[in-house]
Amino acid sequence: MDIEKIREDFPQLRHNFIYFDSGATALKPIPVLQAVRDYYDKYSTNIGRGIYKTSHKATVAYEKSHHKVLEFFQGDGEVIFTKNCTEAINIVAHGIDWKPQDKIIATYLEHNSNLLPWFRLKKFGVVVELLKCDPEGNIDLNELKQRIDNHTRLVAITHASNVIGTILPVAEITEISHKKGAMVLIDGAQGAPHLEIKLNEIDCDFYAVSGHKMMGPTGTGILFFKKKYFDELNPLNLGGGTVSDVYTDSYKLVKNWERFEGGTPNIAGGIGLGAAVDYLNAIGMSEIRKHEIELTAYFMDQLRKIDGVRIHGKMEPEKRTGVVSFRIKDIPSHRIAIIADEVGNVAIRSGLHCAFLMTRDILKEEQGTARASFYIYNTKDEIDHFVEIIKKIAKDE
Amino acid sequence: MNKSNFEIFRVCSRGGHEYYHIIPKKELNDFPENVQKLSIAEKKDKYLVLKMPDCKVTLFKGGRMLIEDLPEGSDTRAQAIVEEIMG
Repeated sequence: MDIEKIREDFPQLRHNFIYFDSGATALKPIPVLQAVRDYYDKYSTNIGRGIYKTSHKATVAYEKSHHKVLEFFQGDGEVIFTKNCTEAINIVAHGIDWKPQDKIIATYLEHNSNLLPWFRLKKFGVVVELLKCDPEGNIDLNELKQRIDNHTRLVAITHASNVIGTILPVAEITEISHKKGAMVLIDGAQGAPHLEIKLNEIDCDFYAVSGHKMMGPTGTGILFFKKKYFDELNPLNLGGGTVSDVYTDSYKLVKNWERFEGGTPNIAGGIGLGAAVDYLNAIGMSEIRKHEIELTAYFMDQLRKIDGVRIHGKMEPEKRTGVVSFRIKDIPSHRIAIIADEVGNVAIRSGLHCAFLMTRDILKEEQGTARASFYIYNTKDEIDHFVEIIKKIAKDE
Repeated sequence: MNKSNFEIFRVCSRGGHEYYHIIPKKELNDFPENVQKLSIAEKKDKYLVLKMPDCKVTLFKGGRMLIEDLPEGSDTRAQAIVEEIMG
């Protein structure tokens, strides 16, 4: 794999810019930009509506993206496009007919997007319980087993922590939950872009993905669900495209993904997302994973040598994604981030990472952590540059 | 140079902590002279950390600043801090 050649596909990297914030959103390669541009340049028309050639072309391209995504995640189910991972999770939260006393189990590891939609259901009498984790992101599977009772309808859990990168044993969690009759939703925002996902093996009921974190355009997300939920899940938006017939006081929903994508969707985004999947496939997810493990190991090795730096999470790089949260002495994380940017043109994230419970209550980082997150376009040279900045920040006068 | 020469952005308002990102409309050549009158907690080549009574401020040579950890709703205080630093 030629990283330098891959880097040429990312125009932003030509401008002395080091991007270590792929956990927030990934850079977009030229083929994705080109696919979006081509749509707007050559066949920017609505889908599913027109009988003319360009509309047909747009419809085919948009539909094809759905198929590519389904194939990419190796799942026997349905894929619908959403605006992001948050919306994908909210579709499930709003789409299931919850009953009072239904129980949902989530964890302290979750991003707010996989907590707040469940908390909101409390007003309908739904009970939400949180499973604690340790500072390395481990959850006790025996405790999970005990907590799942007859009322438990859903276990909602992240595939990988967006704060410390810990990869959760989602297949095992799904097996435990299914044995006790609970559905499983996995927040794949930090898993899907970095790991080879075989949904048929994980066997979860719902898998939510952030399209823009896997090099797709912003405003794209994915919800996968098993076929058996097709009729059970109520669409979030009803309107154009969602129905096959309308009567004076009712309607009949269509039998494909359009049911869940009411109104004109983000056509350019969906087509771009298909191009992103092609791009990731061409490199190979196992190659991406290998590269990220190498970078993560290298970065953590360098950090460990600096006095005053503390890394959060597991020390084995193969047990985490390329997300590394750290602190430098008592320096606020935002200060570290602004210095990295101003002094070295390095973009990192800082703060609570929309995971208040994990960052504040488990890691005890009231004011957040500095977080570097890597992707296929990053290099050890870039890490060296960043480590020099960290050394200077950590050095006492 | 006063606060109107700067753009003030609230960058983070989480868990009761407010941070402000200050960007000068025109980059400065060096630290403002006024910083000598202020308490300097840390001095590095390219930036200073100033200790104010209620917060710390990271100040870069070009005028970019980070006002750290004020209580929620401190927009007016942030403007006053910029004025105080610029003199």
